Amino acid sequence: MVPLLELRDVSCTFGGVRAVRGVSFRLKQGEIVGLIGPNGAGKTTLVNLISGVYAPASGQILHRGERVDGMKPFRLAARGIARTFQIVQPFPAMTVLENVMAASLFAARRKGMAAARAAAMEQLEFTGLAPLAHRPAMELTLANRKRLELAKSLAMEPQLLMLDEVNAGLNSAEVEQALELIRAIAARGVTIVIIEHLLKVVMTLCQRVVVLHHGELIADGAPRDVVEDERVVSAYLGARYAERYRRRHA
Amino acid sequence: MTRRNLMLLAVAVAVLGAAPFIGGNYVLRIGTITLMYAVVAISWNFIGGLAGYPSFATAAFFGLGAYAGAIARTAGVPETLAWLLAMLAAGAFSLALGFVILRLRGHAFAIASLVVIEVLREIVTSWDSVTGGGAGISVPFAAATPEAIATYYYWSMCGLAALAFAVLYHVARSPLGFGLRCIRQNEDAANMVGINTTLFKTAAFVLSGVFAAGAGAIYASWTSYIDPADAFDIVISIKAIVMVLLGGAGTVLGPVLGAAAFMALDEFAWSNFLEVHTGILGVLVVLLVLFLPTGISSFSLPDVLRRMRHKHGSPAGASGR
Repeated sequence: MVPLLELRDVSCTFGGVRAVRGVSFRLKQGEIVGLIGPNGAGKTTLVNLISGVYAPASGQILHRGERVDGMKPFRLAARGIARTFQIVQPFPAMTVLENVMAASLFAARRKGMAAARAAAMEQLEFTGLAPLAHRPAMELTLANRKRLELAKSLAMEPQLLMLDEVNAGLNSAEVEQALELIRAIAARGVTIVIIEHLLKVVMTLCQRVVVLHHGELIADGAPRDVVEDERVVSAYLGARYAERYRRRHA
Repeated sequence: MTRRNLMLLAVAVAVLGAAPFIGGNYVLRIGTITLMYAVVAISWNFIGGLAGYPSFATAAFFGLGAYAGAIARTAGVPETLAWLLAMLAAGAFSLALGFVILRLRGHAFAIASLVVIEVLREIVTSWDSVTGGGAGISVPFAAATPEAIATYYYWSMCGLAALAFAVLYHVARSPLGFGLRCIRQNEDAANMVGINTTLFKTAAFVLSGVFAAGAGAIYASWTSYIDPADAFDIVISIKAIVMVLLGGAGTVLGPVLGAAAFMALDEFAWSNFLEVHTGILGVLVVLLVLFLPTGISSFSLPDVLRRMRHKHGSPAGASGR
């Protein structure tokens, strides 16, 4: 079967800095994949490459077997590749509903404003933002703004959803709510790539973990195997975490 | 449309319809200029108000339309057709220009669009054989009484204003207008939710070009003489921006209200303070922008009364529209 997304030897450079070096991996339909690595490892750059913000310097990106590297973000959005931003990017003066409507109308190609409004309202119900539908986006709390990012990307009716630190800055109760939401999204059959620093989240949520370090892919496998990997331990987890994890799961 | 806006529209139609019958040539002249500026303001509202791109190219489009129309007229093209040709020419020009300068954002875009006026004026001034150079160009006019001519161009400008208003009304409610408002708020996020930002911005720029050129073409026929300094006058660009900001940027009624208010203030300042009228006009505009920062179209009496009543209450009311 053709993978949903395939990266073949993808590299990206900024001036002299090689932010992503020869990364290859495949995503299967319906997977939840964790993308982890230390700060500056190139995780967000990789998401930016896949969503079209940057074009790779070399290598290929294939969506359902077709080359999509170098495509503009709006085209990739229409193909069903959605992402949230680490730093949320709402349309601040627009209402919550209008923010989500934009995604329904343009990325999901809903015909007409009324259809887009109805589709957006569904996503607001799903994410629990419906009571705030007519408030300007800039009035939302951080947790709700993250939720709005999710609702927006869901309204794009994506096949692939990349979540860039949707839990950063949330308290533990809010993280729990966000996880529930992510599980519900996955249950709809959406393939999810999640960048996350909370390892507990990665371990419980993901079927597979991809580890980046200095722009290179150093591990790709089941969460349990990855935390045992020596390179991952030395680059990111640290020996203490690996030891603790091993003891707890012994 | 709300009841208030329907009433405003009815009043506008009544005033516009009555003007040729109650006023003399002076009233018609003021009416024609006001309608011309309404078109120019609507034109700027597409790119500046909806898309949030601070374009100064309005005067370039206006001048291009004026010259294209005038040259077509001297070549013997019928008047209405000459106006349409001028709009078409400006449409093609703004399409090509937009493709180049809409890659820029913010101040860089503003400067680039400003330069276009200068470049076009230089070209028109040097291209003697076609444009008449710095001496200007005379546009043939019909043999009719001054009253008949004044009335004719009043209605022509009125027709163009109605068309521009109808297009703006439609665009503001369409996915195009919605997408442009998204671009104004956050262009990168707009791209990310599937908006072809290049296409949308270019569409807004072309709409801006077409209508400004239409106003210029009718203006050239009306005054029957234009020269480069008059047609490519940066004041046209600036007035368009001031009018839209005065009326409410990105709104449907804003440009028209702004144009009417500006012209009324201009008349008031000019007839009462001949010596210092531009200074007085400036102060009035500043006061209006200070006290109605989101424009006249957002003015609501209940809101103002509520705010006055809660003057010493929470400042939250000040952030509302």
